[in-house]
Amino acid sequence: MLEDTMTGPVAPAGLRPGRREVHFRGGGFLPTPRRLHSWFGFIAILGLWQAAVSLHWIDPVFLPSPSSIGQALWRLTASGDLWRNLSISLMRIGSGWIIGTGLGLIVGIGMGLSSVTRAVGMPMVSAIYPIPKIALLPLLILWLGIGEAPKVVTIASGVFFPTVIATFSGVDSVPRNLIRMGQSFNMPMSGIIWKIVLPSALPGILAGFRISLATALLLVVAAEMIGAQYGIGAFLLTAGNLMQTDDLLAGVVILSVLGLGLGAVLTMIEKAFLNWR
Amino acid sequence: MDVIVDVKHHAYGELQVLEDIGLHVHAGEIVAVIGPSGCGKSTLLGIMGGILQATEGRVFMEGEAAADCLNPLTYIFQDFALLPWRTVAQNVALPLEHHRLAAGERARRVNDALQRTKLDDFANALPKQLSGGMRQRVGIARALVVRPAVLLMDEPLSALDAQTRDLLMEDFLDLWLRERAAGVYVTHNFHEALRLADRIMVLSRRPGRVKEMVEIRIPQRERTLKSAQVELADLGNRLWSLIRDEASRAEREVVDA
Repeated sequence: MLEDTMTGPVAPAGLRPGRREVHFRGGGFLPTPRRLHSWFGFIAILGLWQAAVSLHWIDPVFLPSPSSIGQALWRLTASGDLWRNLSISLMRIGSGWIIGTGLGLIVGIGMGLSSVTRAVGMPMVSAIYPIPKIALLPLLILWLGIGEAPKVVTIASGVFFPTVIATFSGVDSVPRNLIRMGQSFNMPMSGIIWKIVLPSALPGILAGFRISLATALLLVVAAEMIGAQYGIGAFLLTAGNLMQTDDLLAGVVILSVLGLGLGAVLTMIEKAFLNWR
Repeated sequence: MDVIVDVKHHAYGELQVLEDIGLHVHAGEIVAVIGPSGCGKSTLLGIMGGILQATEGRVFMEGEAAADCLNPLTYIFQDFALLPWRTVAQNVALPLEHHRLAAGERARRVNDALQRTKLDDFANALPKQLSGGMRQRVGIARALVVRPAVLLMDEPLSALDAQTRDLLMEDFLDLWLRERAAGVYVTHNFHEALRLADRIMVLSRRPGRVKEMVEIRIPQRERTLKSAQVELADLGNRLWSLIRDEASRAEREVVDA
């Protein structure tokens, strides 16, 4: 029996006239991990797709079934075609990304730390960033010849600008009180940059890496479609021209896996370096 | 070591913030600075610490700091200013890293500062794992590790809840009386000023001028005794009467602005 301190024993809430229960209304709006649902959704879509092709609802020439794509993937792996094309694309992405990111970090940090560099660099970055970098490829071929250089430079230039902007924003948003704290202990400029500014800007820089990796993947495919014999982009173009849609989609799957893999590597780096957040 | 402040005036653009501030902080003395919001208390502390440059005026140090002092004028920040990616011990060690100290001496100083601030069990914790009071202890330990001659404190307890503030204030006072470093303590809180300070500098509303310097003759250790309460209450009333009109006029200025 409930006890009321004022009136003694009371009847259950529902029996007393005029008394209403307060209903819970605070649920929802909380993201909850549902790993099983993700897999279920993925498998369901694949199953539907497979069924649609098997039941001839869809012409396999235009959209081959998942099993055909799987077979194509197996064939490409066994023949070595997959690795030949993938390794060249990875080399181009790696070179372009390292060059573009390295330069982007230097310029972004410079713009974040120096008002002069910012004044000079910001208008230029703002003007050049929106240009689709693939549009520069013909010009780069003219300047650098037909070879690896124009493709790598296209990727580097595409990666450079998001890195500059992310790094600049990261450095610019370092809490000023942390810098003042360093100064109040007479820390040298280099110490403030290495021990305060860069670690503080790291979340922003890594977010920029995520964007620049996606950009690099996009640009490598586009550049290889325009002027390359090997590489995932060239492979996709050839498969498309020959109407080998199973090979074409196998190439798309490889790109997706590559993107996921690179994203996973970045997530690992973030977990290792940003565990303090 | 003494600190002598001679600020003729300080302005942010057209806005005059400080005017004719003269202050001599003697070695081992604690001076509290109080005044209405926006009167330039934190600006004055910034100028004293060399973080802000007075529009016209200078700050001098007089006398020698102790031989083991690595940073004579040392700040304790209102918002703690801890590096969130460093552990407690690494945060405390930060001010030592650009000094040429033997590894043993560095570790000794860090351990000593952690012990004195009762943080030795939290040396490997990250700031996010600590309460506000514990974080400010880290800020205090980081200041103590350089064996400062003068501590400059910008409302160090204002970000904390009332209970934590009272607890930390007593620990803080114990530490201070043992260290005998001089201190300048900026606060809004009369209670803190009356508990900690030897002298209280009352600033007028903006532009902040020295309105009065109030001396507290009761030693800090005796201020919790019953016999001291009447005198401290009188001093509190006096401070409030000095500041009440200024504070309400400063408030109206904010509303009118």
